[in-house]
Amino acid sequence: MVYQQTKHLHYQILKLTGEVDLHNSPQVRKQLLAILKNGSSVLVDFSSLSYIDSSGIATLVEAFNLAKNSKLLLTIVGAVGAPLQVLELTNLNKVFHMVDSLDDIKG
Amino acid sequence: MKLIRYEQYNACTTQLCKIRTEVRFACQAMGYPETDINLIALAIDEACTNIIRFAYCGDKSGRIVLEVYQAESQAIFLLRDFAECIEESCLEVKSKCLTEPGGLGLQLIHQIMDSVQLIPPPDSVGNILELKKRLPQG
Amino acid sequence: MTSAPQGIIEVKGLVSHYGKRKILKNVDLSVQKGEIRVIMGGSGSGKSTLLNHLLALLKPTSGSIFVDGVDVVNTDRKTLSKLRQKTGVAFQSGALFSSMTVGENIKLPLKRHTRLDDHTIDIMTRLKLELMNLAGFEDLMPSELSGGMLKRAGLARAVIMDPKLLFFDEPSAGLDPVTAVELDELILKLRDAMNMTVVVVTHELESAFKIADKITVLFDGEIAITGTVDEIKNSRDERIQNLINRRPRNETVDAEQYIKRLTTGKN
Repeated sequence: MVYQQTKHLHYQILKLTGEVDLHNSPQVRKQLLAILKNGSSVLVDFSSLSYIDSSGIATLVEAFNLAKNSKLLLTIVGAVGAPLQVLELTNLNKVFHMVDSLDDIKG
Repeated sequence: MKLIRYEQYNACTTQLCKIRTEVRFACQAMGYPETDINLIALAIDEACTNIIRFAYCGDKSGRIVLEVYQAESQAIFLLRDFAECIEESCLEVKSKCLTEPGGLGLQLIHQIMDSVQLIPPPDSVGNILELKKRLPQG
Repeated sequence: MTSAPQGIIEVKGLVSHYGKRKILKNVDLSVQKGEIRVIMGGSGSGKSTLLNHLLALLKPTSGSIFVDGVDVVNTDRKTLSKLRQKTGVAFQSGALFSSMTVGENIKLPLKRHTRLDDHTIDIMTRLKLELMNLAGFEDLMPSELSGGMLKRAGLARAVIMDPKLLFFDEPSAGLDPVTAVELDELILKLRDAMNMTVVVVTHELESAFKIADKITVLFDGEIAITGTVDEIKNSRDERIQNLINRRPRNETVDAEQYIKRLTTGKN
């Protein structure tokens, strides 16, 4: 798994590439929470993510909750394939804010 | 019942990727569609994750044995560890336990697989987790 | 000494915890001799935990469990081991040792617990193999058997000692429909031929309706109902009707509450 952090409008984008599992989800957690604690809303780009396990999902839940309590946004962008299936399986697709692509994000 | 995969791994998170790849290959060979393969790989990954975290408590020298069998109507995945014996009730999921360590993963395993249970290991050492999934139709 | 309970299984006020979690909440169960009792419930209902208590593999938080007159919670190892010899257990996957032939697997309890002559043991083994439609398969390895055959071999091993009481965990799980029906018929045959009491734990409704004298349904660690097949079918309990008609659980999600549950564990 590699991650890349960029900016889009007033959002920080965290693009996850490859596979998130128990081995590297702590890295994702650290990064995500740091962005939110800096007071910035975040777009988590799933478009190049091929796998996410429950520790990754738990990280997103934690971050989503922190965002909500801090009146920030956490949006998942472009989830497809296995990661989308996991979100559906956990019913979190009905909880998280999800969009198909960055074009759907308005300032 | 035909043994189609037998692999051994160390109880280390760096192995998870290999385990998923192996499970994916086995599932492809059994004719599962991509959507099922994704989920089965997730279920096995979650089970291994729990073994690494809770059975071996992070002891990377522990061993995990993965066996995949193809039976008449189902695939059977056996995960064996050689840690302290756990109780069957550890495998039960309640909605309230989602925040307990491993709870969410356990729920995923139950949702994905048709049957999840511990079977008694031959020499009473360690645990064998048996996960079954119906084979694809047709 | 508590007065001798009537049924071959008598459970009163069974409470069981896993850590802080209450798995069984005040369960009463009474099974009569010669009865086929099916224990049903979904994943997480506590049915496996109940089975493990009946097998004296777990210690309850409170309550009493008598099996064939033995207080299994408080008895000593020796009495328990004697009771186990009168009890057969067929696990879901057969759990045969892969390094031994089918015949050797089935013989194992006789070799371990009796001093019978090898010839006698061989003949007893073949009798059971015949009964299970496995004649001629005794020299095969478990890996050479199909799923249905493995299950029958597991059953043969469970009944090799002619137990009074047979526990069967998920007999038809994962079997194709024809094999599942055959296995159900075998259970009925065994009860009739050997006057066994059979306790079957399953989530397969069709099988339960076919073989049960009585069905006990567990929900969330509590007994929702115990009754005959007709009583279950006619129950007005919505959860039972959902189980029978396999209605999917309500899929709408209260996002707010779900996140709270996930992050705090509280509703």
